[in-house]
Amino acid sequence: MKLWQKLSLVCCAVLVCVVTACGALLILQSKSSILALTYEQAREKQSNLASSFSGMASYYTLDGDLPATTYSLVKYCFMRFADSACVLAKGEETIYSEVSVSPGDYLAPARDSAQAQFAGAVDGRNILIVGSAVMVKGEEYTVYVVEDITSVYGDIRALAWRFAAISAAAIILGTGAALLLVRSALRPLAKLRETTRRVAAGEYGRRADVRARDEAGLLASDFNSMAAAVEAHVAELTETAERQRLFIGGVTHEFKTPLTAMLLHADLLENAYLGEEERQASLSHLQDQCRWLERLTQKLLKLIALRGQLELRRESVAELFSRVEASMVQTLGQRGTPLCAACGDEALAMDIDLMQSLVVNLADNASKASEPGQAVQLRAYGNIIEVKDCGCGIPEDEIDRITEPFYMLDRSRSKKKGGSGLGLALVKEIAAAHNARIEIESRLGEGTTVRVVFSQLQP
Amino acid sequence: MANRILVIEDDRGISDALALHLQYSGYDYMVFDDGLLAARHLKEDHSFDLALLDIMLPGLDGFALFEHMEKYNIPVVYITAKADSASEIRGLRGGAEDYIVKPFEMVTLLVRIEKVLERTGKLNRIHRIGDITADLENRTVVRCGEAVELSPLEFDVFAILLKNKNRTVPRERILNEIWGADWFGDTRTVDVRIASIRKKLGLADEIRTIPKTGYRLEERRK
Repeated sequence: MKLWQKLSLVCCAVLVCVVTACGALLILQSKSSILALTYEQAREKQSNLASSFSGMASYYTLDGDLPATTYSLVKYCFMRFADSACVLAKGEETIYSEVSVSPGDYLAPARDSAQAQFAGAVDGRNILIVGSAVMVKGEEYTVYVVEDITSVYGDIRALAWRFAAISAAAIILGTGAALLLVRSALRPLAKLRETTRRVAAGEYGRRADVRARDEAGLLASDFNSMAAAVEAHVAELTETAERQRLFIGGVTHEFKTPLTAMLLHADLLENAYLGEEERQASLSHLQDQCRWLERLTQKLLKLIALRGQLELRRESVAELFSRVEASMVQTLGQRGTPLCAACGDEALAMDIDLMQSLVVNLADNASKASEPGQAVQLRAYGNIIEVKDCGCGIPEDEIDRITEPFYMLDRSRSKKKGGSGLGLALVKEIAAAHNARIEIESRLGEGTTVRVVFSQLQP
Repeated sequence: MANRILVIEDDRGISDALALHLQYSGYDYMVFDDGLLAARHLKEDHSFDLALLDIMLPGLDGFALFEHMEKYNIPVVYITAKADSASEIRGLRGGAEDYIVKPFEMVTLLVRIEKVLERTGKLNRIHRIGDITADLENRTVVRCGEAVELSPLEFDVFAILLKNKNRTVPRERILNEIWGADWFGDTRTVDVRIASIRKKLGLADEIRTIPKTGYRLEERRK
């Protein structure tokens, strides 16, 4: 059952109970007070009647009158005060009565002048009888007032009905009001629910539009901040997935070319009628492609391994540069692009093997971009390591892309020089693992400067 | 006249192998590793029967080169590592005859080249080996100016060897191509035809038996 239904039902039930209880109490109270009033009136009427009658009858009758005279006199005196509800009886005999019941059957007043009273249903009517004994010249008469109070009961019943009708209307109105109130109080929740479903269905940009300042509003604003967090995470995940998809696409693409060449040469060696020279050429092509694949996998492995965590230690930059020089002196010598390293006594937190790989990659790129005779400069100052060349430079609109895996400025030229398209991607990963960032500054035809800027907060 | 094929591929390993395969299969060829150079060359010399185009090329990419090919009515077969269907659709919609994704088998590439040449009516039907000239269209063989009578089956076998000059052709392939894949005949049927071809055309040395595989028609180089 929904909350609004529950709340409305509870409201309705409480209303019914309270109204009914109050009504019943009120009706009972009114009934008893109305009846008490009626009884009181009847009693007063009877006692007035009794005293007026007894006074007058005692005055008019004389001792020694004939019974018939006394009877007539008494009756006359009684009739002077009586209305249609009064009865006068003497013993078993009714002297005056205009009502259909004989009150003596229901009431036997005591001999003293105390009033006796009867109320009850007679022949389907509610009757009230009040009577008392009256002594006139030694004779005992009984004076009754017989009131038909059916209409009083009717009035009470009518009152009860009216009250019930009013109560019912009040209950319906009250329940309706409660319903509307509850609905409007819960409307923000319904909105929130709709938004939750949309978000769950993948519309991460959805926000709950609830401006209330109550609990529902607070919940909605909390919900919105949760949705924003989820959206950010999902976007991040999507981006990572997309980057990995591109990366894997790049890897497959890079593998296809050497594989095709290997297949073709293997096919030649197996099926074709080759001269010795051609056979040797094919074999060396095969070997080249195998070595190339090997280099590619090595770099890929390094790149993947880097996604883990590193242990950084404070190492001297001079040591790093001498290692780089040692590993590159031969290659650079062949290319005719000497390496000039300059540094002070800087020390930076690093994994020296990886950092060597980074600097070698940068220096290698620099040397490839240079003409023979142009030097590659290696410098360190503060928290910056800088590799600078005076080579061909990078077009401005390509600078942002060159750190993407497998991106090559000039594919065929790069490949002839042994480039894999992974060098700068590797550099970027290594730098990221060191909390360092890469800055590339380049001008076409004037050269390129790459800076590895270590974070000021050295771990 | 051998069919002339233009190869534009920037990877040396692939283009060298392609060139050898094409040469042995009796095609003339020309290789470029740069799209711009190829386009420049086309202005002076464009009598090619087919172009094998890589898509990712320095200079001009394959799609851009296609327009130059179209100008000179050269049918195009793309050879590329781009395996996504968007590129394939773009290539074929653009009007290319075929789209082959790397890595591929040379045998299939040769068959596709042949089919494209056949479709465009440029397929060379006259093959020469030594002093023998075979006309695959009219099914005639001439040796030193004299017609040689080959039975229909012998001619079919010889045609397959000719079309795969310098390549080993497995016996099963010959069986499949002539008698169909459902035919469960003995491979010796092939051996019998080969023996009689060798005799009739004097190709005892040139048609070499490759142990446990099949036969190869070898063109002796000078």
